[in-house]
Amino acid sequence: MTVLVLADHKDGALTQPTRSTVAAAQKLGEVHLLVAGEGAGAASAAAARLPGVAKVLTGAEAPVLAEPLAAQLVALAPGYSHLLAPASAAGRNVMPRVAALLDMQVLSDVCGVVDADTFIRPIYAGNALATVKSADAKKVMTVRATSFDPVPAEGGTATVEAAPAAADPGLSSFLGAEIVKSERPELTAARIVISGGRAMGSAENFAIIEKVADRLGAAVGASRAAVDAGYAANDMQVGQTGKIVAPELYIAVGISGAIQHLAGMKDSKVIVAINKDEEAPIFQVADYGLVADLFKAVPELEAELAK
Amino acid sequence: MDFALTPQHEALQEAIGRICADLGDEYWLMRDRQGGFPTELHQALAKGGWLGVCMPEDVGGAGLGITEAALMMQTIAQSGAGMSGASAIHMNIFGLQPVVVFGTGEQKQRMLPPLIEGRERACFAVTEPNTGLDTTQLKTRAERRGGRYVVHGQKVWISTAQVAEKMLLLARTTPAEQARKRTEGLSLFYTDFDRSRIEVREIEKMGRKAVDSNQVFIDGLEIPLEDRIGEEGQGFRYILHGMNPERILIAAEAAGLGHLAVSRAAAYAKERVVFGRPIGQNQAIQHPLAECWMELEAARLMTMNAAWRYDSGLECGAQANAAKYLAAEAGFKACQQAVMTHGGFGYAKEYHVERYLRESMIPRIAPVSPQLILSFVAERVLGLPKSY
Amino acid sequence: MKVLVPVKRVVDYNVKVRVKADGSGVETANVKMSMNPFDEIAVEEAVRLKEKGVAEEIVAVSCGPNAAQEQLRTALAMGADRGILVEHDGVLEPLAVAKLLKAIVGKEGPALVILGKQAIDDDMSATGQMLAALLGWGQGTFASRIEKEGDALKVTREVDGGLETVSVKLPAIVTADLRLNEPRYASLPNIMKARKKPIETVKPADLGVDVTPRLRVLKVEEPAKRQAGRKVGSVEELVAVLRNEAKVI
Repeated sequence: MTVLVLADHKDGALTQPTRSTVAAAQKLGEVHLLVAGEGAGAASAAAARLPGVAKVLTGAEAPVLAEPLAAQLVALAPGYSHLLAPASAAGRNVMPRVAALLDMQVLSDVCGVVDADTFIRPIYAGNALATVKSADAKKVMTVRATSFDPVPAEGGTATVEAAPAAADPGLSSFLGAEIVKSERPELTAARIVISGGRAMGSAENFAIIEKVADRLGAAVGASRAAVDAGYAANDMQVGQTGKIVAPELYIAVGISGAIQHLAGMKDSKVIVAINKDEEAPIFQVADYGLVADLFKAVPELEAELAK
Repeated sequence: MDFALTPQHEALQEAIGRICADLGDEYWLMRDRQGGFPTELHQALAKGGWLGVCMPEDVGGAGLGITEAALMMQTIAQSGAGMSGASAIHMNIFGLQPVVVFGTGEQKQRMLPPLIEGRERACFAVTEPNTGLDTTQLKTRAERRGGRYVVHGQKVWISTAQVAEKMLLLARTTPAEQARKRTEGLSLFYTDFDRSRIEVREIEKMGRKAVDSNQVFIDGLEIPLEDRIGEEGQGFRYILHGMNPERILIAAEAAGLGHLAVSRAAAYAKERVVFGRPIGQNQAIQHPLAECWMELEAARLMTMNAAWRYDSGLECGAQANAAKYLAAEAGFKACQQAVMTHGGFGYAKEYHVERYLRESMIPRIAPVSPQLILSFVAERVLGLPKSY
Repeated sequence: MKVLVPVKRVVDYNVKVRVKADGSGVETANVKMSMNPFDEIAVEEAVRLKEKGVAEEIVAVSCGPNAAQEQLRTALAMGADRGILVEHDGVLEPLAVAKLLKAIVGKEGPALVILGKQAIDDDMSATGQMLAALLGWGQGTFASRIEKEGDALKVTREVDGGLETVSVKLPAIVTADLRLNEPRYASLPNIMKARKKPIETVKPADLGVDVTPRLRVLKVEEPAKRQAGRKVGSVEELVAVLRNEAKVI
């Protein structure tokens, strides 16, 4: 069996969720990667160094659009038993389209591989896990990165070749992107994440969290309540409807612990909660809880870390 | 016999529930501390057309019944708004029923749409300091002088008089000794609340600070003839028209408040751990709450029975009075039990239940005392001799 | 133009779902059901397009049990003009729903279909993309803003790390993300009007669609529960345990 993984990449490197998807793919068979989009050339070189990847296909150097990319994946599909992508915005955009074109039911957010036909995926915001067996001839799926340890970035020597071009159906065109520039690590790839909730009170107050983040080399996240209140940008949202993260350390500051939020971070290895409300549900999932006023505790934390 | 809510009823509860959810417990706690009319709730309900729930369709209402109005008021009280939320709009929902039934076409078009749209709020100026529930003995005088009436007198327990733009006023137009019958000689007016001729003094009270209650002193208020509702001298009969709906709505509000208290107490009892287990595992905690729930549900069903009878054009005096009595007592008991379930924290404002307890006195006392309801049922239902 | 809005009946988002003891699924009996929240956003967007004069008619469609009429009524109360219920009692996977919707699109001829980006029960996030594929239409998924420009739709999409803007030729598929709008509450006059709006019922067989599931659910289980840890007394103690005990910093 040969498995095709659609890679996400940024600045000439594959994203960590892509390396996790490769790890999931290796449970199924020989792994090929398709690298498409702006910067595909450089990212293909990086992809070729992933251990356990047999072949890298380089797609067009152009902004990725769902319709032509889906057409390209469908054209490649006959050579593969499984088509995988990380369950990122990009993967979730294109893979269901691919599945429908192949008359197959997509499997979204796969978090466990049982065998070639059987997979585990979360439903109801992760409050239940369903084990499902697909009757389709091929499997098209997106993979929840936090459920698979990523393969290392280095160690392999795959061949790189150009992917056969596919016709663009011309249904849409790319106008532009506003990607937030940050010196901090990507939320979904960070080893440590510190998030603020509505109790932060204002966007300015997030500065105290950012200082701790910079001490720890952590990414900064936010609860949906904080995002809705305008304290933090949309792409910082951790939760069922935002980013799913599973860092080694997750620090929740002034976050009550709504189910919505827990769904996005409960797989973190160590969870710390700082909240002045002793009854806040976040303490039920936290390994270490500190009942304290965040405006006092967070600056103290920064000072303590500086020691 | 069908006890099920219709999909429309469920849609109503859902929509009202969402509007109320936007305010939340902290809002009502703040309103209870600081006072101030809950304009946010009133305006949100007006925007959604909810104030016209039982107003006729030709003046912009929905033309629904007291059943729907009762469901709405229960939902508001039960959302956490309690009587602070319910009383803020209670009068506007049903109070102008006399205008609906006895007003002219011109009056309805002039008076009702601003109320439904939330541009005007009305207060209900009936009760007086020296007459209590003996409404026919009202002293406030409205003297006819050409094309207008001039009013002098006092009213008491007039809710929302601090903020109202309009009032529904019952005043004497024929001296009691000259009236043909005890129930005649009073006239009903719906008119501008002219603050240059009316002085309003707020009464400091036990609860529901958000919705003011007042003494009102009327000195030379002029009312144009076209603001009189129906015939001169028939006002008492018109007012009676709104009494049963009012009891039904108050009952719904009391049941809502009680259910709110019980659900909060149950939630607390599940979480609060003492001696290594949730206190809700103890029967001494469980049983009183279960009892409260049963009594509230029985009262609620009596309320819906009365509402259904009213909307079906059946006599509903006994049921409406019984509903108001049962719901008020069950609501009070539930609020008290909720405080006791919380122990010391029940006495702390931030746990909200003490506020409910203070508010739960309102439906017991207003608009009619429990004793008078018992006398009414004894006399009218059981055929016993009149006792007062 | 005509806008089609599919809506799904799902377990209300406030309900904490329980996994059935026999592992066959989650408990849905006597549980409050509502319209999928993302679908509400889709309905709201369609209503706003109509208010702006961009859309002429809004047709709400639900594929599901007879009771899904309630969700259609909710859509009608929000401002949709009429409803279509594709009645089916069993499981409907996104591919089957996409096929049913394709048949409805064939009958109705909308220029735009707006769907929620995902249903909060199966969390597949797939129906919109699948429908776009089957129709051969362009897709603007996870939309946080849409604007009609000539015969195309300018769609701002929420992507990892920020926003992306694409132009999608009409007819098109849009899937609504959380921040596309804030859905209105149904007003009383509109709830009243919704009672009189028509709902047509069809069956998958009438549309010639085979809805046989492709996935077999072998079991459904609860995820491993996280144990609550312990409280620390001070920031100093917190940093010490993170360094020495958890060894994560």
